[in-house]
Amino acid sequence: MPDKIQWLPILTELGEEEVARIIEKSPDIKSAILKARKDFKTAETEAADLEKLGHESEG
Amino acid sequence: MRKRKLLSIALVLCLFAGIATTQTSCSEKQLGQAAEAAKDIAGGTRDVIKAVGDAYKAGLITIEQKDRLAALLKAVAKGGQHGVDVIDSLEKQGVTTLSPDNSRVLRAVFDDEVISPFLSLLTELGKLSDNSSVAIRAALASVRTAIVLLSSRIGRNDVIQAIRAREVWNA
Repeated sequence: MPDKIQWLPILTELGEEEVARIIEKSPDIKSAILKARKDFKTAETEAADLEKLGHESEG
Repeated sequence: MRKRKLLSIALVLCLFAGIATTQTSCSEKQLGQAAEAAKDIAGGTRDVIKAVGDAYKAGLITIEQKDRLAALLKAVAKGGQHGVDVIDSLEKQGVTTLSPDNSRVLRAVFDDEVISPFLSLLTELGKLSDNSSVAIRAALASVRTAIVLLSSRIGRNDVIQAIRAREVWNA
């Protein structure tokens, strides 16, 4: 049996918690949302800095 | 015993994958596509911001042009954040069918807070010479692609037409 199911050792290494995490629904949407939120927040800050660029000498 | 337990988890995994694939609703797919587009637009927006800064520092655009582009990019970033909040809220609620109200909210954010400043950005770029805007346009390509792809998927040909109408190249 172990010879035929070659991925079983991988699951053994992952552990039950990791397997449970993989079972969680829609991981792609969640990771896309997290990345988008992070980048949009940073983009807003960077755009604000861009607005200030060249105006540093002004009062 | 442990091997048997892990085998049963693996079989459940395969079963869930099959169920998830067959039960994925149209709305869940659209939410996923919107989230993916938001991720690409967000990353691309940062690239455009950098390209505008570099163009200004190289003396290719004036401070006024830089300020206008910066303000529009800030608006895209803020609108994008709002859009992500809406998508996240719907996803957490486990929405499987977009109600007319949900669709209306998503559309309003998309049109007013992302597409509108993006179209204005294209208009501003159209006023620049090719030489001064080539790097900015190159950085904008990924944002444009993400918006066009999403618009195509959700049947918004009007957005695609509006984008094409503003893509002006000057000698």
